[in-house]
Amino acid sequence: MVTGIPCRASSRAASAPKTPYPPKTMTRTAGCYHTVVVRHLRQFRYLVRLDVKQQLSSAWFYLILIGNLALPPSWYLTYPDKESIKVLMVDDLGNRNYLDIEQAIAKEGFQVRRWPTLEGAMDELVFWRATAVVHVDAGGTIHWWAASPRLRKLFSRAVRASLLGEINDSLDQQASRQGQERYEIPLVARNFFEGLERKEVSMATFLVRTTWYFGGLVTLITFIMMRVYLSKLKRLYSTSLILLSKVVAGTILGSTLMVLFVGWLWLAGITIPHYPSYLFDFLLVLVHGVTYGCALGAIPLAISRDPLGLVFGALMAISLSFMGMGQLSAFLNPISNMHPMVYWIDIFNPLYNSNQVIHNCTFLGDPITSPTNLAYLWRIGIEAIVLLVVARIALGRA
Amino acid sequence: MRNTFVRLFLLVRADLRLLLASPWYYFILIICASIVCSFTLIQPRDDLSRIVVIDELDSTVSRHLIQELSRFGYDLQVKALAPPESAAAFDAAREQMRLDQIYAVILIREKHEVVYSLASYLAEDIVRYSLEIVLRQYEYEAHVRRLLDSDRPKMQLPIDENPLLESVQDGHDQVGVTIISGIWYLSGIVALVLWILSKDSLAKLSRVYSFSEILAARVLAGTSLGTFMVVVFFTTAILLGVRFQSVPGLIATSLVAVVTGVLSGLMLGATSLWIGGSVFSLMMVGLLGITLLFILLTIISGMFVPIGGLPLSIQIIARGTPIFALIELLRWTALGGEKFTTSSSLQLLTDLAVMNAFQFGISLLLFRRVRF
Repeated sequence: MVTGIPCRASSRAASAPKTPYPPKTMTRTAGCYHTVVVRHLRQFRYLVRLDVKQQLSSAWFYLILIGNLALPPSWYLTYPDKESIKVLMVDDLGNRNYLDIEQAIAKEGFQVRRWPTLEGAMDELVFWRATAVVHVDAGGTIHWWAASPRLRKLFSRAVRASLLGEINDSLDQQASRQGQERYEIPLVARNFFEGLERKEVSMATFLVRTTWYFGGLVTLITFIMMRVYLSKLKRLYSTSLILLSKVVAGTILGSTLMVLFVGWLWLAGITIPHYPSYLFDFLLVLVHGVTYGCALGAIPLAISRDPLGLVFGALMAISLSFMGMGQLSAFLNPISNMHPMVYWIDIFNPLYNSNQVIHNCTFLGDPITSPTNLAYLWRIGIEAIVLLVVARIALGRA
Repeated sequence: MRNTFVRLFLLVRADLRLLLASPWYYFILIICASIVCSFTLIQPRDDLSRIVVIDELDSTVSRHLIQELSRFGYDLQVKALAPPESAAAFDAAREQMRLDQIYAVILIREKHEVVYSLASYLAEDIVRYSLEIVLRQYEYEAHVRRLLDSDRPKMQLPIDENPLLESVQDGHDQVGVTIISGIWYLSGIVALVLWILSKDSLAKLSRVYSFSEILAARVLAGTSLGTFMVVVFFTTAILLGVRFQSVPGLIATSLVAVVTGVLSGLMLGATSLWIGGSVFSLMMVGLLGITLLFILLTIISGMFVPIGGLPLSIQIIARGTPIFALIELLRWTALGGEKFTTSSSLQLLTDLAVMNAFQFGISLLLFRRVRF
C-alpha cells in the first residue's frame, strides 16, 4: 500500500530547491524555464517510481509474472495441429481390406492407433482419451466419429481425401503392371509460412496479445490504487504529468512480462526470423494496452464517484474487450472466411493489426516501412494517442 | 432455522445491493451482449470463404474441377486467363490474401497441375482437403475411363459418417464454448469484486455472522448476479441465430458455470485475504490471478482442440479443470442434445461437484484464518 505522498520531504530534499513543486499558476519567465523543466522531470520521476515501486515491491507481482510463464508452453503444447488428433482404428475386415486405411489416415499426419473393440474405442472417445474413432466393418464400410464439431468437419474431408489418394495409389500399381501411366493432376502448395512452424507463428502473436492485456490490467490496477489519493495528487501535480507517469510506469511493468516472454522464446528455441520488427510491434502493442488501461481507468473516475466504476466496470470492460478483440484478431483463422463486418471492426483492433505486422514483417520478411505495414502500425499508434487524449480529458474532470 | 434464513437473506441482499445499485453493472451487461455479437461474426463459414480460381487450362477438365469445388459452397471467383496474365493474377491474389481480402487462390495450369495458396494459420485446412477430394476423385474417374475404356458411374466411397454431434454447427460450437468459459471467468470476477467492496466491513460482518453464512450468502449473491449475465449472453446468442438442441441442458450448464465461477472467485479471494489481507493483494492475487488462470485454462481445456490427442500431462491437468468440464457439458448436452444421464455427462457433473465442494471447503478454511 502507498504510505503517503512525499511531496516535499524527499530523501534528496537537501539538494533540492526549497519549493520543488511549483504551483500551477506560477509565472514562468524566461529565467525559470530551466528550473521548471527540471522540477517537472523530478515530479515525473517520482510519480513513475510511485507506481512502479508499489508493484515491484509486492511479492504478488512476481508470483503473477512467474505464473504467466506457464502460458507459452501451454499454448505450444496444445496448438491445434495434426499430431494433436488421436485416431483409434478398429478394423473388423482385417487382411481382406483392399485399402490400407490405417496408412491412409497416418499419411495425413494424425496419430493412429489400433484398438481391438469398437466399444472400447468409443469409451476412449466419450471419456476424452481419443479425438476420433474409425471403424471398418466386416462389409468394408468405413464408419467414423469425432469429438468436436470442428474436428468432425475437418476429419470428414481429410478421410475422404486420404482414401481417394490411397485408391489412386493402388490404381497406380495396376496401371504400371499394364505398362501404362495413371493420369495425375499434381497439387502444389504455395502457402504462406511454408518452411516455418505455424505453431511458432501462432506463439509469437499469442505472447503479444497476452502482454497487451497484462499491460492494460496492471495500469488499471495502478488507477484503482490511486483512487484514494487522486485529489491530493491532482493538487500537487498536473493531470498530464500524472497520466504520462502512468503510461511510463505501465510500460515498465508490462515490459517485465515482455522480457520474460522474449526470454522464453529464446530459451525454447522458437524461431523468430526478424527480431527487430517483432520487438517493435510488441512494444507498440504494449504501449497501446497501457493507454487502453489508462482510458478505462480515467473514464469511470470522470463519470461518477462510484468505486464500482473502476473496480467492476473498467475491470470487466478490459477483460471483455480482451475476449472480444482476441477473438476478432483471427488468431486461428484468417478473417477472409468470416462476416464482412469483421473487416470494419478490425480496423480499430490493435490485436488484429499487430498480428498482421508480425505475419508480414517478422515471418514473411516484408519491410516494416511498406505502406501496408505502416498503415497497420499507424492505426495502433493513432489509437494509442486518441486513448491518451480521452484519458487526459477524463482525468482532468475526475 | 428461520432465523438462519433471515440472516442469510440480509447478507445476500446487502451483497446484491452493492452491484445492482450501480449503473456500472448494467453497463457491463450491455458490453456482454456486444461481445457475443463479435463471437458470432467470427464464425468461419464456407459460403463466406472467398476463393479466386485462375483457369489457365480453360477446358472441360478445368471447368469440371471448378464445378465440383463449387459444390462445397465456397464463394468462388473464376478468372479464365492465359499466361503470363495468369501468373500476374496469381501474385495479385496472394497480395490480397495478405490483406485478408481473399481466403485462397487456386491456379489450374495448362500442364494439368494445380497450384494453390491458402491464408490459413493452422496446420490442417478444410479448403485444402476439399481441393484434394475434387482432384483425386477426377483422377480416379479419368483413370478408370482410360483403363477400362468404359464410362463408369461416379465412385462412391464406402464411408458412413455417424451422427455424433451432427446437428452442431462448427461456428455455434465455438460461440457456445467461448461464452461458457467467459461465464466462469466473469462470475469469478463478480465474486472477487464483492470481496473487494466488502473488505472494510468484513471484520464487522464476521462478528455478527458466521464464516459459513457469509460465504453461503456470497455464493447466492454471486450466482444471482452471474445469472443475469448468463441471460444476456445466451439470449443475444440465440437472437443472433446460434442454435442449442436442449434448453434445459443450456440452463443447467450455465447455472453450473456460474456457481463454479463464483466459488473459484471466492476461493481466490479468501486465499489473497489470508495471505495478504489487503485490497492490493485482492487485486493482484484475485484479479490478476483469475485472469491468468482463465487464459491458462482456456488454452488447455480443449476449447480449440479436443484434449484426447494432447500429451498425457496436459490431459490429466485439463481433466481437473472446471473450464474443460463446462465446455464438454455444454457441447454434449446443450449443443448436442444428449441427456444428463449419459455416462460422460454424469462423469462431468460429478467432477464439477467435487471441484465445487473443494473450492467451498478451501474458501471456508482460509476465510476462518484471515486476521481482520
